[in-house]
Amino acid sequence: MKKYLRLYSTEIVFILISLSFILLTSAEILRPMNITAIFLQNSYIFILVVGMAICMSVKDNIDISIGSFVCFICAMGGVFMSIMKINTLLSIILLLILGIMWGCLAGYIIAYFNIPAWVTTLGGYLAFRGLGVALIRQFSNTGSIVGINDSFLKLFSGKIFPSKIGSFGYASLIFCLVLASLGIIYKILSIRKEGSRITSSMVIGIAAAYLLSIWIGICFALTGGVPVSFIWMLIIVCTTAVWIDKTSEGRRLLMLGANLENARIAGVDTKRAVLMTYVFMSLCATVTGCIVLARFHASSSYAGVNFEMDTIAACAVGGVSLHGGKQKIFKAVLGAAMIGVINLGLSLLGVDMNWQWIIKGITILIAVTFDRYLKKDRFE
Amino acid sequence: MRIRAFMKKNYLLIALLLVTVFFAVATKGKLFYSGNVKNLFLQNMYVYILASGMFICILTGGNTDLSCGSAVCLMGAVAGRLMENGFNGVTAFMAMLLIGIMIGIIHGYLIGKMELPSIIVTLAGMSIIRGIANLLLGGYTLSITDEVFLRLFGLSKGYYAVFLFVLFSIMAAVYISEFAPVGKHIYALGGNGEAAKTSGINKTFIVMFAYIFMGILTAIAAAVVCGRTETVGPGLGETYAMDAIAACFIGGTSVSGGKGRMSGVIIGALLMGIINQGMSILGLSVNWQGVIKGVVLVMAVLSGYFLSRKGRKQK
Repeated sequence: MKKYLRLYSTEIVFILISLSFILLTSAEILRPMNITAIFLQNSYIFILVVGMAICMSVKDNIDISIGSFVCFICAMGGVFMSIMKINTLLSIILLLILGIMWGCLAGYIIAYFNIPAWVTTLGGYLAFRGLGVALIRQFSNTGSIVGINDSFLKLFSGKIFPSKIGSFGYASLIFCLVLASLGIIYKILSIRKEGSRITSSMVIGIAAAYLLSIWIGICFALTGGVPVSFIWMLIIVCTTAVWIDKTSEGRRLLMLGANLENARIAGVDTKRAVLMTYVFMSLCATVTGCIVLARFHASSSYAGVNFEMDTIAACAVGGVSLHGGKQKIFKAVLGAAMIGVINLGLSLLGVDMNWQWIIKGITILIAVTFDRYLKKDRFE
Repeated sequence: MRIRAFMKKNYLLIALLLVTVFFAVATKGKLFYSGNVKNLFLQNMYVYILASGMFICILTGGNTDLSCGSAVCLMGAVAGRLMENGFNGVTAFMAMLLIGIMIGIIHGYLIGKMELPSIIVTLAGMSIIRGIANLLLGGYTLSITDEVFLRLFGLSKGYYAVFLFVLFSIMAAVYISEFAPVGKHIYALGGNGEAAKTSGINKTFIVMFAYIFMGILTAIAAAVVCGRTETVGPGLGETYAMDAIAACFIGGTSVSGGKGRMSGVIIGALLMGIINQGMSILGLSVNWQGVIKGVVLVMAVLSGYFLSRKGRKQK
């Protein structure tokens, strides 16, 4: 019993939370519009959680500056496109460069000077929120910079395979089915390649994933197409999952998390690897910033507020070990979906913003304590 | 060589001097107007109190408390509501202390006993406490009119009992870190956690002690802030945790714990006060103040790294 609890704790909690919100909202949450909203409104958690899972794969590493950095990226995007009239492509490149620069700076300070991650990113947390808001105030009186390029908006928000709301967009459904099939074929092939047998629990998992993607496809088809932010999310999640699972670089990162000293003796350049995790984290935050900017159609000073809380909560419920080395991107994404469901469910129920803060904080505390409890049992 | 040794020994005082001169020039001497000098201490009393508590927490092994700013808001809100309903100031202060001790016990248990990272625990705590505080305040700003409370913690009534509380907080931290046996254990735990545990130091107790101490000092800070402004509003204390942490690191406390002196922290708090004061005299917006504080925080930690490395090389 305990073995299953340990192996599938994230999945079990996800099902429990989903069921309880279905009951609480009397199935309102299952409406196609609301399912799409999970991906539209919470796409940021999905992307950030991937970066955070990579970042936290090394013990004691964390990045709490991401929310503020998203705000800063939004402000800079507004300044580049609306004030300086730079074209879309160049703006995106400049934003990515900014992301890499902050990642390098934070990573360098953390890895090479042995400064704890929380202090360094706390500095970023303060500085970027201030910078972002100050920039927005500088260039507009209304608290938001409007006039973002159309091509930028198309690239980061809106829908592909657009269909009229009310009619059924078959293209979206087929697109989702093709993606799901590709994913499952890939999974089966990789199981075959490892030489292990396909167990019954795997079949259940694959069937559940397939049914879920059909359901999501139908929801997208009914609500006017696949959101672009969903595509961005898929790209980042999939490439990262393959990178961390299949490449030697990724495996090395997990080894780093399991035991930093061993990895160093085994000849891994640990400092460089830690630096790279922060660059990756900042790049994820930059993409998130672009999506948020496009979603609001303006750079707002409220962009990215509490994103770090949501992301850490998603990591905590997604079984990302706080002591490193145990990262499963899939589980972290499930954790993000869980926070998405909680966010949506609470706002459907009309729960006050402050209660949402309280509930999220308690979620984090319970999740990390539970994780610790399960792990402790195994070691002793 | 002698100059470098001098610099290393007195870098804090030199930094203090440089920052003071910088702001004195930048504000064209306004920094030294008597009103401003008075405010320099009065407006930043909370920094000294919170930094004292934070210092003890950090000493136990780089543990931090990000939630203290929100806790100030919650305690203020509870005290404000109590006094609104006819309870007297002393009862309200007792309630604040009780909340502080409770928060300290919960944080201390999770961090010390369950060995969860303090940053995640207190970040979650920050969110929970801020939520409760906002619910209590309901978006309004409460004003505090209770005579007893204002006499104890306020400045407007002509009593200055509040200084005793500030002094008590600082002296308590000095006593714990310099003289008390528990202080030795705190230093040992921060210096080498494994060795300390093996030699029989009860980690759970020490960490809980540090967080309960932090909770009590947070209550005092909340009373002092509410007494001075005579109001409690939503958003109170949002940057307090940063001020306290920065003061500790400027004061030479080691980020991983086990090293640092209270004298440094006091100078760090003074420096933070001058930076706060100078920036508001210069009319910098809150946003730019945040930027500068963030940079100062990282610079302080980095300078600690360089100084300790130089020291090691000389040996």
